[in-house]
Amino acid sequence: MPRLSQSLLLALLALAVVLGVGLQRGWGAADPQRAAGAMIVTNRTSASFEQPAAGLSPAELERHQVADGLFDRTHVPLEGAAGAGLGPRFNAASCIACHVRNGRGRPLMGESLVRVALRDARPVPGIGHQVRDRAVLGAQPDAAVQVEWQEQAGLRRPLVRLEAEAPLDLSPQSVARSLRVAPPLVGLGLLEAVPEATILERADPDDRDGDGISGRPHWLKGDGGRRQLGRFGWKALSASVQDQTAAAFLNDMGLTSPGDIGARELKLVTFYTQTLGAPRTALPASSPVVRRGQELFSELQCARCHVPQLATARSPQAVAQVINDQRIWPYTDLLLHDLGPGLDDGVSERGAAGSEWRTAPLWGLGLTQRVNASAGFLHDGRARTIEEAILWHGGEAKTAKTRFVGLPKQRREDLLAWLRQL
Amino acid sequence: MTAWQRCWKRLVDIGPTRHATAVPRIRPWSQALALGLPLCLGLGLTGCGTPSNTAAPTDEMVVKTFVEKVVQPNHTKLVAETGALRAAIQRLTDQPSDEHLEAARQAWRAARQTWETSESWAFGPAETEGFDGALDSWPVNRKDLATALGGAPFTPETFAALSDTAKGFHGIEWVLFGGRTGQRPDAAQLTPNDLAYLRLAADDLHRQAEGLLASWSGSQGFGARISSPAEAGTALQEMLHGRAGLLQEEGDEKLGQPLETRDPHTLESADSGNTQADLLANVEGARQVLLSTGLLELIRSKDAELGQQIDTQTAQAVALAKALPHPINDHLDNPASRQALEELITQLHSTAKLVERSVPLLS
Repeated sequence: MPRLSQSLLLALLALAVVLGVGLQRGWGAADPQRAAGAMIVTNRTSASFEQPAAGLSPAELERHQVADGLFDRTHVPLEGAAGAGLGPRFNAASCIACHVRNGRGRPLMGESLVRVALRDARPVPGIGHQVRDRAVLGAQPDAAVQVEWQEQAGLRRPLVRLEAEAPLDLSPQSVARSLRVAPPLVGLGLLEAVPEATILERADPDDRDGDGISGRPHWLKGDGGRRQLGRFGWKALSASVQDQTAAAFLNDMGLTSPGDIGARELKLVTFYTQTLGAPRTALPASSPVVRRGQELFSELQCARCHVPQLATARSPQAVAQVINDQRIWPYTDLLLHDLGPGLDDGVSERGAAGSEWRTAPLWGLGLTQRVNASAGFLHDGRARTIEEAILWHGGEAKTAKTRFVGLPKQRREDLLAWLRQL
Repeated sequence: MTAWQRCWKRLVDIGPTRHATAVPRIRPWSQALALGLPLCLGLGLTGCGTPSNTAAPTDEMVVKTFVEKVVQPNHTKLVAETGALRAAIQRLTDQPSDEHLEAARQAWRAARQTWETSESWAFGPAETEGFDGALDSWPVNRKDLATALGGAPFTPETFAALSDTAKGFHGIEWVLFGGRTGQRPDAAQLTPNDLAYLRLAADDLHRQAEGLLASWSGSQGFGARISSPAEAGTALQEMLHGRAGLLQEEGDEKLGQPLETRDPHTLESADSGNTQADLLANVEGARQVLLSTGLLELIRSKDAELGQQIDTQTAQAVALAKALPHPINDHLDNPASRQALEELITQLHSTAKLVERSVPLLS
């Protein structure tokens, strides 16, 4: 065979291989049923959110299981120095007390917490931004918290009462308060690996395109004044899973590094959450329920913020190889949006206003109440159903909500049926 | 598996005798429907769901049996035994004596065994409604207990200020079995604060047990919810994951950590020396669910070899747990005992893997 033909053949062969790999990646991974790509969790029982991601190497899986023990650990005050171990003030004694079975907790004390701010956004003197409502024996909690529910037109909102022993002015006129349930720990390692540029591409803080939807990156001041993009938590207050984990140890449990939690434990617990997967959807993409639901989701403009599909980067620093190069279906843009007065509880934190919330990822949404039958939706668990959560949307999402309300009953049910199988 | 699939399965199971040559054992769906639908209608749909001596039980039957014959009797027993513990503690506090103290300890062990038997169904209200935390938080909060009982007169307000880690089985154990000093106290050594705490803690334990039973009971209870035809398939998977999760946890946390650190305080129920009984109740509970609900038969009907392996391995885990040194506290440095613990850990891990393998079969 002439040399040219041989070269051509080899080139074609190489092209076929490249195309084949590309197509396999493109088609194989871009299946919305496999929401977490290769990190998919097929288990859709109440244990779904507790499953390690698929695709971990044997060594990574073993590390995950070791870290699982640390994540589950209940902390107690330790003998010796005051404040050693749990507390002295705290919200919960373990991660799983609030992240119940790695999902959402109930909107009651012991499984959720209250964030506070003065009306001018400064921290509350003597408390800061988080009310530690429990304390080890001999110490005083920041304040006692009582949650009551106010019903109106089929929806409910929490009324949070704060009472402190110390002479603090905790009246609602002076101190804004925001009840927060723990968000589900689903696919965090994947969300962390979405390139910053992908998130910024969708930002439109001044609504230049005039569609009524802005989307604002939450820039945080990191170490040494370095700017960091916030992406985790209800208000995107943490730039990384490790920052979020460290903040929870410190603020929620009163565990201070390095006395109570060493660098090794922090890294391990971070690794545990980074290597949890996300559940596959109940129905395949070919199902009419999925086709109808996806169409409506776009048509109503929900998908403008709850962006269905994202891709992770390839990074040599990835804690598990399987996190790299994944097409995922988390339904979020990881940006802050103004959701209107209904969800504005007045607590402004690090530049995120009371009405601004990071778009909540929706993967695993349909399993919320299978994992924990008493869990609710939205940042404070006020929504008892997915429909109630939609009805609370306002501000930038007002058009989408209004369109949803205006749908015939069957079409509303079509959208809900799709959301329930996520 | 749907009702129609079960219906068809029953038909093909009896197929070879009725249609020895005409009907192959495995048929495509179209044939199944063509043959199965009229036959099922003819026989009556309820007849299709009725188990025969040879057929495997249905998903619903397994879950219903699990709820009615395993979970509810266990929790009923727990209510009775925590009630007996409360009564024994009442006698002890009314008339402190070594005899009454020992009776209270025995009542604690009895209730503890029943609770530990139930740990393998680690899903549902125990986890999501806070009962597990209230009954069995661990490790015990020694520091707060020592502070609370060593100070001013112990009142219901003091008790209310304690966290879950200073209550429940392990709080009571800490007082009854001498967690403060490491020595079993005589009745005369129990302080008025100890006795006041025991009364309140035993009351609370009993109330939690009642709440747990109530949460599984009644037409709106968790038991009824998971027994419904729509939920039974998922509930089966929950049962299996619960088994596997418990076995894994036992291996990694309950045994793995003490073996690594050689610190008796990392053993659950270390103060009472009851760790071996706890572990045995855990594995016996897991085996009981497999054997007495029809779950093992169901696995066998899908994969006879896997079912056999699970049967053998869980029986071996029970045997190894029975043979553990007792109390384990005193044996963490003994090479032969350490080997026994390691064997059980390996056994628990391999059994957990086998149980996990059975999950897709029942999906």
